[in-house]
Amino acid sequence: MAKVLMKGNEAMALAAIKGGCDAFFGYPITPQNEIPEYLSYHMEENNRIFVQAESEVAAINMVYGAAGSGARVLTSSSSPGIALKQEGISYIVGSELPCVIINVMRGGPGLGGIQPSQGDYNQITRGGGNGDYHLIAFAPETLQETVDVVKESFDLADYYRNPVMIAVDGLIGQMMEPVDMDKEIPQKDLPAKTWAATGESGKRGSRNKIVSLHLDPYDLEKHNLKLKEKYDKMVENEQRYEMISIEDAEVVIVAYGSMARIARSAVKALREEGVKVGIIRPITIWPFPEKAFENLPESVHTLLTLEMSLGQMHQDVKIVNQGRYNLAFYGRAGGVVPETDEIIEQVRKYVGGNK
Amino acid sequence: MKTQTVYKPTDGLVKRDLSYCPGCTHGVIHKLVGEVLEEKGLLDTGVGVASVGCSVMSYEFFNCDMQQAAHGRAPAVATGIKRVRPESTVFTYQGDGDLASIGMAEIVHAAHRGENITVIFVNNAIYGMTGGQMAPTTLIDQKTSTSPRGRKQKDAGLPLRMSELLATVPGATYLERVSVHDPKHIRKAKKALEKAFEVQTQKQGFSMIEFVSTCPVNWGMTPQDSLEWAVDNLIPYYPLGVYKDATKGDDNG
Amino acid sequence: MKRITILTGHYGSGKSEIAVNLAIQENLNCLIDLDIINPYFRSRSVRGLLESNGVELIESTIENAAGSDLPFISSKGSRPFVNRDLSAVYDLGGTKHGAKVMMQFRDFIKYPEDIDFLVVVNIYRPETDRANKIIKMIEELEASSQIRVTGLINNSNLMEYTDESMIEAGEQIIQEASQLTGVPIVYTFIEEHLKTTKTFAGENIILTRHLAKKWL
Repeated sequence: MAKVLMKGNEAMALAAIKGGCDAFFGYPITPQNEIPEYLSYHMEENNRIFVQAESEVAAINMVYGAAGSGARVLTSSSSPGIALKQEGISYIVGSELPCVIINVMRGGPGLGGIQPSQGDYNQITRGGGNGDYHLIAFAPETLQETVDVVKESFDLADYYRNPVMIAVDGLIGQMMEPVDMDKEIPQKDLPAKTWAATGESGKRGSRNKIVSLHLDPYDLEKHNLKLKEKYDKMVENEQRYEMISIEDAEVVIVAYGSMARIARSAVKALREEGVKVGIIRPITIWPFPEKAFENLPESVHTLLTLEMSLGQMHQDVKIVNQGRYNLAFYGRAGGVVPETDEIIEQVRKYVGGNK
Repeated sequence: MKTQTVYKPTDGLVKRDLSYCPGCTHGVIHKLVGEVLEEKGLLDTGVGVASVGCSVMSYEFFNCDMQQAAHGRAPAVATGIKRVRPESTVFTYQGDGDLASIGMAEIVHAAHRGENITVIFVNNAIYGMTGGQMAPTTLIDQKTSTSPRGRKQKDAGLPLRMSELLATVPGATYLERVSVHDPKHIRKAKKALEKAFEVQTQKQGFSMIEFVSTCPVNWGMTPQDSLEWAVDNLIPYYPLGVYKDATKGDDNG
Repeated sequence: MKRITILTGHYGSGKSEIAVNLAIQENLNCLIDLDIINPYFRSRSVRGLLESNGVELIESTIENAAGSDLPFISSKGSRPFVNRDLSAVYDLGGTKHGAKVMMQFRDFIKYPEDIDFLVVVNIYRPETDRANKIIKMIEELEASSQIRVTGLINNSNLMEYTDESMIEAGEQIIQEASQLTGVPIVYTFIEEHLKTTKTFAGENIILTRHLAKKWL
């Protein structure tokens, strides 16, 4: 299919429409504004729902309502707004509802800044709201990959009856890149949403309840164990990653999103001089791609985590490493995007190092 | 012996005991809502939104599809449902802590957008569920577990009148405050509910019925004394009546 | 070229890269960044490059706040309109929402004959991939800026994947819009990597990408 030149946010919005999104509820925040702007125009054109809510809190609760009545629903925001949505996300998980959430991350904490960041890693991968839960979180690197996972996320959310988050840093939201918007993506065979509170109890002959309240602790524990089974299934089936120039690598960079793009350009330059360096690129940050670390070649002696945050994913690398390799970390924060040369310099510190 | 049905429980409520304390007016209000839904044939298309407060378990009682909302967010949840299911009949059931305190933004903006939903607002001037704390609607000098010396204006401001406040929101269509302290007022309250649901079925926008209610347990009174206290104290501050009826073309309240 | 060039168009059409290229290649006195739409990849992010080429950068009222999304417009932006000694390129934000900023300066426009108001078009942007869409956009931009569009720029590209046929395809569609509106194509921008010998409509200028990082 023909490629078009798209801006990240606009591409995600169009991908949501193509992924069958029935309704969008959101609130303005930089750097994701092109998403609601695009949808405010194009959802109506496609006979779908667009509502600008009074706050991120209201928006996620509208998502909860619409998802509860069986619709495919999207909301988008950026870091401080995603923080506000955590209450609703926890309810959505607790009630086992599907939805897709786009987080175009900016620097924090607090109001922080509007430049790109990966500082929400912990919030995203550790649940984020109250209670014991997880979301599938994609952290794509190119606009093509972003568009593809946005489309696929609606199916995945329905399949697991759990929210899926698209976690991109602001650069992915704001950059331009050629994309094939109609690339085929895997589709799931999904059962009808017989559980939804659609306002059709008459037709159905029974009433449906969407609830996250379980007053009996044993009952609530049972519910939590049922959710845990889903998370175990996600860990088993949904880890996604890419291995880049790993075969003979001494140093393996671990990086996702825009950071992986920069790492890629550094690896290209270093490989030209014969430096043996590769990349493990998580495509899902939850579940964390543990499988990628299982059978690394003998040549590897160091894992170098790179982040646009200060060592959040590095904790997951430590867990998966189990003391096998030397660990190193380099990160920038607050919206500072490292240059390729900075990364090259970091890698040089570890090549030829001790096994 | 020939029998004649003079009274039967409404099919609008699930056949089970309500969880509310003896003498609490939630029971009467539930029954009225159930009756109106049944009599207007709206149960089959109904989606109720339970809130957080004493009525948190109302999803077990109303005999239609139900969704349970986070504290204060019921109008936003109802918005989400109604927008994707415009043919359904959507109502929220909220207390005064839920609607007038933590959910102030959601209720004002649902009214402001003119969402085609019906809000049942139960105002008993106290937080019942959490143990009798001060609500935005608690009267001056009323003692609660967080206003042990009585509510004072200098610390906590004056009690908030939600029907009057929402009457200033241009997007709202129908607002009425009622009471259920005696049969005459109960009949009147039912009429108000009928009107509110008609506004929705005729796609005329946002309607809210505010009920002046009681809390014998947290007020520390007998049920009968509670009703009298409500009549003597709450109703004078929260006068009954229609606060806005834009169905007649009156959009200024 | 006229003394003042104002660049408008859809976001992502390439206005800012073109503004920086024009300012440097044509030795203009100043570049005025009036983009209130984009938070990233704005011409104000290459202040050093512009200044080393003798171009004064006029942007926000907050100095050195390239990372801000506060839409503060500097009053210095009116200077080229009143001072005929200054040459300038104006970089507007995308769409009619970005173009309406020009209304701010309407009363300063003393010499309309000195101004070119140019619409940048990339037909690989879905919102401007047909002549009728381009014409609709021209009308919207004129309505929100209250300035008559005087020319079109063919910037049809898929970045590093651009080839000559894409520029030609762009020229064909933009030419169609040009014939229907009577607005001429005044420039074609050609990606640096292309090294083409062909000539295209209007003045042909080689585009060097200054805003996008190498790894993007």
